[in-house]
Amino acid sequence: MSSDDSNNISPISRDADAVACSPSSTAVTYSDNPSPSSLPTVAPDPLSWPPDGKLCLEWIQHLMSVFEWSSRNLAPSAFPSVFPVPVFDALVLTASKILHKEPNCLQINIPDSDSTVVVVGDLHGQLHDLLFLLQDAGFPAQNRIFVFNGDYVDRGAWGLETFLLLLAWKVFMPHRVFLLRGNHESKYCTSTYGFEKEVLAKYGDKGKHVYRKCLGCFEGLPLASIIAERVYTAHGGLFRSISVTPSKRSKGKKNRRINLIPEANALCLGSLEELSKARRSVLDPPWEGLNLIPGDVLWSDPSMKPGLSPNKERGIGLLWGPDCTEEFLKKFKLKGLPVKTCTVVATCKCGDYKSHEGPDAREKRPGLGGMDEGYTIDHDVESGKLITVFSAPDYPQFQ
Amino acid sequence: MEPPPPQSPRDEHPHTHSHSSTSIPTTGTCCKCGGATTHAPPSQSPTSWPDLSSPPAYRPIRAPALNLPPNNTQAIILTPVPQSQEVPTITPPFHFQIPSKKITSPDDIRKFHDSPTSKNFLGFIVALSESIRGRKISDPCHESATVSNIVSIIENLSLWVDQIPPVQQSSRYGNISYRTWHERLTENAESFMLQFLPEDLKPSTIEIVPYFTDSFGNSSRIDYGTGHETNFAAWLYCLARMGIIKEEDYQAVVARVFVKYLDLMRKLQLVYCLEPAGSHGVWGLDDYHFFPFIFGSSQLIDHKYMKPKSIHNEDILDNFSSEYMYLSCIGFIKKVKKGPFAEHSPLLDDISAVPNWKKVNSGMLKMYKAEVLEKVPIMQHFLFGWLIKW
Repeated sequence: MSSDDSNNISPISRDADAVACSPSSTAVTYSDNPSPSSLPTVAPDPLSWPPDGKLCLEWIQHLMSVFEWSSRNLAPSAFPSVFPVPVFDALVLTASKILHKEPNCLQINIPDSDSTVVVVGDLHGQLHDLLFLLQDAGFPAQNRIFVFNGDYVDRGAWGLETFLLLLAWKVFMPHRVFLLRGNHESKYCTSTYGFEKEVLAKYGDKGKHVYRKCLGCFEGLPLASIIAERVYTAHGGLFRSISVTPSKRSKGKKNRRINLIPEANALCLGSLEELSKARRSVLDPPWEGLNLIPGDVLWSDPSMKPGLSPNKERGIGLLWGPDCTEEFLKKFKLKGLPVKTCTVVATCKCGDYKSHEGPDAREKRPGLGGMDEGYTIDHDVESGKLITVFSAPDYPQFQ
Repeated sequence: MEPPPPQSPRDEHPHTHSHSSTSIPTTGTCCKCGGATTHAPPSQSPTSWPDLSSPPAYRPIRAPALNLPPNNTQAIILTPVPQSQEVPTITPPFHFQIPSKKITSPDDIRKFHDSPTSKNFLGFIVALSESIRGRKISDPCHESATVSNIVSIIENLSLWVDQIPPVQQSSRYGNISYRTWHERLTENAESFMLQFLPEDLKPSTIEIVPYFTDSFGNSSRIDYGTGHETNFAAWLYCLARMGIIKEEDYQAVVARVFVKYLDLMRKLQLVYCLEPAGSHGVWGLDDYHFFPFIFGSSQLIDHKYMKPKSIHNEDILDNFSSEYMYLSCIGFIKKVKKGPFAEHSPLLDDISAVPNWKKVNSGMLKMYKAEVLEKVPIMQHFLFGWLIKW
């Protein structure tokens, strides 16, 4: 893996999706003991953005190699020396353009019966787990789609690298790599749980600019996806219907004004149409007012108690019971599982924790399953299942 | 899936720590006995993912995870150090009320921080910190009847942990027996308060009990974090507001009451495997606590030979943890976390390079203000009533 081709990347066909990227043939390995030839022993040259704006596999592999090397050898404040601000700007801009155009709920169709979809849970800045996972499951390819289920940043030390790597993959293969928004892709969380600090530590006085750009990119991330018309995937989960009722006023001319009030008492499940119409480009999903669907999708938790109720512990989002899972699956003719993750595919690795709620948080609600193997089946209803998947085995790093 | 039925009284026989190979590497502490464990890396999962290979063994990541760039440090240096304040005591007529949450947004935080309430509350913490300056835990100090009473309440809570053993369960965190313990706490909280409240202040229970019951973690999530710790401080602040705790008691409040509270929390964390609530990961000081670092650094101010870098000296940790809270915290972290200290606790590692404990202490106070009292996710749970006014 040479480090000198960063300026001479030959552009490949824009229809990158058609290219089969087989990791074994363009091998850069990320083993525990990388051979000297596979990692630069001196600081790599700074990455640069290809002149024609087209990424290729070599660029991505070089990026992964640089990130991994830097995480082990470079002080965080030297990060811009390998990933300068102009490159950051170009990557985030290019990725944002793709992401912002996507609908709130992606329809991900599988090209053929041999294809797999890999759904990845919370990563929380654990770059090395992401690198391992890509190695282990194989890179995104014509027949391998990846859906990342949010929470890329905060808590871990390498949120930037994790997020930027995912953006790069998205730019390279926009129809094979999908990035959903997690609750941590917000100002509210990143200003408390470490990502803002990380950006400032790495980019110094350019940090504010970088952080702002990241927040802008987060706003564009789609909220959910439906895979193969069967499986609804989202970071948090189900969402409510925002119905509006006209206030009861007499019909005299003066009083023709209609007040729109959201239904305060009767929480019921929202529809996919409502989801598609929600205003997702918000810095922080609101917990009051009318635009409550994004907050629900990103923050809700499953429960064994039937029905929908406000998620008081979190102050935003809902709790939903197995009956809601059943209703949702049936109503929208989804056969597989809603949320948290898919039935269809391999999780990348025997994980622990996350996709919003840790395995442990699951266990605490009676009846919900344990988390030994990287996923749990939370609701098993007539129309399908609800599964939570987690992909950050060393999360939190203090384990 | 139903959790397995609770075990009969905890197994008295020494048990080995061979956990099932499908479980992921967990804390180095056994949920049952609190002892250290070693875990083999998990073997391949028996599920239907044939492509799964076994996870790698733990990889040490050598570069420090974070460092503060010069301009950030400058800004922090220029922030004023919080100052101690006297807590004004209430006078009749009293208007005790059930406290409620008020903060939901950064604007609310700003409002809170401009208010005399928050300055006085923080001033109380600073005063507690100053009361323990340069003193060992075992140093003699004036112990009022109230302080002794509170200590015995906490001892009682600790006893209950022995009476309510953790159940056998597969998940790493969050033993459901904690809920039983917590229920008992909630049932008895008011009668505990009535033990030491003077007659005219007994009506305050409606206001102070909610702070107390929320000081030991969250029952449904089975977690604990600096927000709960802050509630405990708020409860103590309420007692100060009522004149039940006076300035002459502050040293005992730290060296007797808070130390007992910390011991209890460690026990709860280990026995019931409380999940860190809203951990900041490598970007935070500690997953559970903040005050022991404030009070603990104050204890070590002007110590003849122990410097901040002494935390890397294992002998010092072993020999002085019982007298110095800061050291016992570091010791605890090293016990439960795996890998190099600089990797799992880079902030504490960075702080060990600070030249003296006075600077550590003032830094900790500034950090507490910024990282706990000014963060919506934590302060959204803070309660306001008549004693702590919004």
